[in-house]
Amino acid sequence: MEDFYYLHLADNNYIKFDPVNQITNVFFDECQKQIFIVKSAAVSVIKCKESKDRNFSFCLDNQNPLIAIKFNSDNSVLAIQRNENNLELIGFKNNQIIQNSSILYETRKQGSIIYGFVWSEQHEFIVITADTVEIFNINMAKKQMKSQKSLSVSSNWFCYNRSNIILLSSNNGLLLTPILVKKESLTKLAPIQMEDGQSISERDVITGTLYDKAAILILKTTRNRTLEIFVYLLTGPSFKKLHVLKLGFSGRVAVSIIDSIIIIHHQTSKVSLLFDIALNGEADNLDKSVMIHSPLLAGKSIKPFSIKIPSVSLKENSMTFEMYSVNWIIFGDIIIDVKLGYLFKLELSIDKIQIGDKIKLVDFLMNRQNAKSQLMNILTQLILPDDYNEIHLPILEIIFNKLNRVYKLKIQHDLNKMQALPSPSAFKTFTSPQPQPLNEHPREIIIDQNDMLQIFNTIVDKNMLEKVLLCYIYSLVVHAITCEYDLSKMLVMTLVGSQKVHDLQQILSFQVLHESKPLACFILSLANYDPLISQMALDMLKRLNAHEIIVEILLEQGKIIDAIRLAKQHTNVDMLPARKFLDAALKVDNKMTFYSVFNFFLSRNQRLRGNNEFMKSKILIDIVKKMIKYIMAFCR
Amino acid sequence: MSKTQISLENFFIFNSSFGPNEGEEEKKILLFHPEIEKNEKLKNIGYIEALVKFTGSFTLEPTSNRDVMTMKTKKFTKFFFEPEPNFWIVMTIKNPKEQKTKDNREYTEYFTDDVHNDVFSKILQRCYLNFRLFCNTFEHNMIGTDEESQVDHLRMKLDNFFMKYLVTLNLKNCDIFDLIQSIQYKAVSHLTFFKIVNLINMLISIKNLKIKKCIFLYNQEVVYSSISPDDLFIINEYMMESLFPKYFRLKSNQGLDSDRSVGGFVTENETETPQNAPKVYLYGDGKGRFECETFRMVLYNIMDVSLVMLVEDDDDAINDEFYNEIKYSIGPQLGLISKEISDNIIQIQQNVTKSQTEESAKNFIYCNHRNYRFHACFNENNTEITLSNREGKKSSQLSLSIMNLLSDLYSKDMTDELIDSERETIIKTFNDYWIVKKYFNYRSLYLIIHKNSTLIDVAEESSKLLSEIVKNVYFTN
Repeated sequence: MEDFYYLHLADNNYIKFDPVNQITNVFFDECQKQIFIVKSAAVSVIKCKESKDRNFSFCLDNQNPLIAIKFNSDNSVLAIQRNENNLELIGFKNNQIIQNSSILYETRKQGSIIYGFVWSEQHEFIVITADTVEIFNINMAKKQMKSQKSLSVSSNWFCYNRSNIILLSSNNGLLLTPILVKKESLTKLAPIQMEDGQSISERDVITGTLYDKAAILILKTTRNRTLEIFVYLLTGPSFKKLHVLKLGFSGRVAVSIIDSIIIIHHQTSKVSLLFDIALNGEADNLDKSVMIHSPLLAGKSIKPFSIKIPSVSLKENSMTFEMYSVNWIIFGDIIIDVKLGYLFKLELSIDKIQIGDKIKLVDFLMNRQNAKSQLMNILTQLILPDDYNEIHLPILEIIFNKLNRVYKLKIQHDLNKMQALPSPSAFKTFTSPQPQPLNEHPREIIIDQNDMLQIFNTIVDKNMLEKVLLCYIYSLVVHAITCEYDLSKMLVMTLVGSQKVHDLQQILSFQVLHESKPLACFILSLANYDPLISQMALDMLKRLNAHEIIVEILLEQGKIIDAIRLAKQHTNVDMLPARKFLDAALKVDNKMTFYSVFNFFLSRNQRLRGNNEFMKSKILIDIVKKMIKYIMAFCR
Repeated sequence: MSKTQISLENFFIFNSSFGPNEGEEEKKILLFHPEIEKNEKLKNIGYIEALVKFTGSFTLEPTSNRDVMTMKTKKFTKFFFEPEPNFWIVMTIKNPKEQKTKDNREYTEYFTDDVHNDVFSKILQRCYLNFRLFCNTFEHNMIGTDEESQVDHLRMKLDNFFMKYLVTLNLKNCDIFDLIQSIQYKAVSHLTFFKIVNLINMLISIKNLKIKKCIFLYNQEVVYSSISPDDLFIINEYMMESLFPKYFRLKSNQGLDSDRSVGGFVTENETETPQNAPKVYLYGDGKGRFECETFRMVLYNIMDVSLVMLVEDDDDAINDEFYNEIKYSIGPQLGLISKEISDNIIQIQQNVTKSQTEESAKNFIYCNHRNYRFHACFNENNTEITLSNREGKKSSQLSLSIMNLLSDLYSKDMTDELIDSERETIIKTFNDYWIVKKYFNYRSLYLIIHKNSTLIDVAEESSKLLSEIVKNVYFTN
């Protein structure tokens, strides 16, 4: 039985490359996920992304050592930096360098140093120098490099990790200036000031995306030497410090972000901690807007990893890797062991994360993109506890409310989307459309009533089902979500089954269930259990204005006179099929009723056709014969 | 001399099989109220025995023991029925009378019609059901080694119960509402309703508390109950007529009524604690299920909310844990709901006063025979009739004869139930009172209109009122 390691390295997704040594340089481009193995002028590129492109090799013209090398997104331009003052952009096609296609970029100001460069789009290129950040549009065909925008910010270093934020450090790491990169433009955002006077070094900062928001994570050392991570999120026009992660130890750490979970790898203790900023932490005493988080659960190591090595002997050799090695470099979910020449992909198994607090667990799972089945499993466990655990309705209530809050957002989003479609009448009016509150599609997992229905279907204990179901429907009601047919049907069946017809009537009278003819008919089909039920069904049909169905029901119940009265009011009496009513009247076996119905149709015939005869029909003739028999019986 | 009110002449219970031989007649008597001379008692019993025997030979089938029989004489009306084989309960009611003078001669006029047969039949049945609720059936109370001690035990039980119960019997105020035997529920918003249902479900699901069923009351009106309507009606009556008045008197004596936010267990007297809460025996609605369920009934009150909890009949069920759980965990939640309901009511009242101040007075009873609920509104201020505020209000508004007419109409509906079809009856009574009755699909509406107008006008007005009162249900074409 494997110990529940929730972090592991992907078994079949590792890459072996030539390790770094005197003649080999290795570069990793985080954006493109490409490894460049450079041996003097020969470059081989290994792709980590699973794509159709194969790995390839090419030769550079120049053997001078490289500082950085990066392709653009479609591998059509290769950017190379060989010294601090200039960059070279080279056209690239069919895995080969296009000769004489290079553009040379040099810093304008003398002595200005290029810190680095970034491909932001296919043909957009950002260069960061000691005093400027500039975005260029690249046109290789014309050998042009057109400056789109330039910001003058002096900096010591910069940080960029596959997000739309470039973070510049100035004033020796006391001031961090975030630059927002957005389509051909750069925007300088309000700088983040280090109030405590602690300067930040380049390796203490990571940018990334948490729950679709740009985030900056800064590693800080507290007074008692333990580490904290400050999480800044882009809210509105600026970054705000919103979360503090308490690590509780000191030493070298690395940060990965997978599925918006922050994973802190601690090298000395060989433990990784998980943090989820979406979960409620404690509010900071000093600053109420800051949440303090402790790890989601006790730290665990990454699962030990070994691979089989082909060997000549029959015995299989396997190679076990040292975890949390000093040679590891971590880029997000990619771990590179530069010394051994391996690249691993870090994976997080959500299903192995066990949190005792079920509310927290549900919260956590709702925020995971791919954990729906996992979430459903947990919900099933909560609703169907094993013998040792009791069901806790108050906890279920909280969880249902969480689910339905998101569910309601989704419904609103869908509704708005439908309303947003241009209607033909919109063109005629000149008033500007009302700005609607924009409801974004919730990023959380949506568990709708049909999902819940699946779980409810597994409950065998009727008594329990009734309670859980009412609890869930209460939550739906609170969120103003109407209960759809299938769930309503289940509720009706459960309440009728446990002889709570009165409760059912009360619930129906609130009209919280989605009323429909099928539901009314379903309720009617249960009328044998309790006479109250047929009353409820008729009420619902009445609310739905389903007079035809009511007429049928009244006929079935033998209330012919009532049926005719209702039909007279709501349909064209001339079109009433006499046969149906007379047939029903015959079944009632009440002479008075039959006589009245018969007379009603006779007078109608008189009015319509001038005589009181029925249209020719065999069955009608039978009825008329029967009528005569009745009259004879009366006369005697 | 003015007209006397309806009052009780006597009330007795006997079983002929206990004293079949001559000289042993006294043994038949199980209870006799008021205490009178022995021979008088036996005379009364013999009278009923003879009546039953004599009329029995004219009825085709043996009378169903559930039906109450009535006999009207000039001065008295007698109600008698046999709830259990050979056990007869008899109630004699004095017809109201008035001394009048005509042609200088004094004479007494008896108002025999004032005593409505069906209404008081129900009262008598309820006497038995009340006894059964707290003491179980007569048969179950025959405890002892020999017959004599068994009967003595039963006598003691009957005596203990009915001496207290008959005092609370308020015969002069009995009317159609006693006949309907339904409950006017307090309407709450759907959110509050679900909240209450969930709270009760949660309470029931806590295994340690052993709570089986609950009734939720707001301001002594039922909001939600998880017991059958028949049982509910009897329990409700006990609470209204006996428990609550005593409790509130007790509370005000102790000066505790000022702080209503402090919850407490409702008991009949000071010395009682929830630990010795009364036992109740529920027989359900008699639909297929006859076995009796025994519970202990605990009532907790906080602010305007009262919660009746029927707890498993177990000596250990109501312990300190139970006490603390209710007081410290459930009590505050009930308080919150109480606040929610009262806020809601204030809101509704504001809306009503804004929109319809000039609305005409409505007098109506709307009842649903299928779910034992009714809704009544009986005076100019549109105040709803509840059991607690019934007394004194309606008699000033509507005369007894109109109330009895309503009772007549109601009984008619009940007996005619088989012919289940839409019906409408319009009656003009004296003093320009009109009664419009509509019956359809097991619901009936009785409108009382005080207006000097024609039949057509009344019919029109009634259908207008109908659409105001009855909404969202299929009531009439």
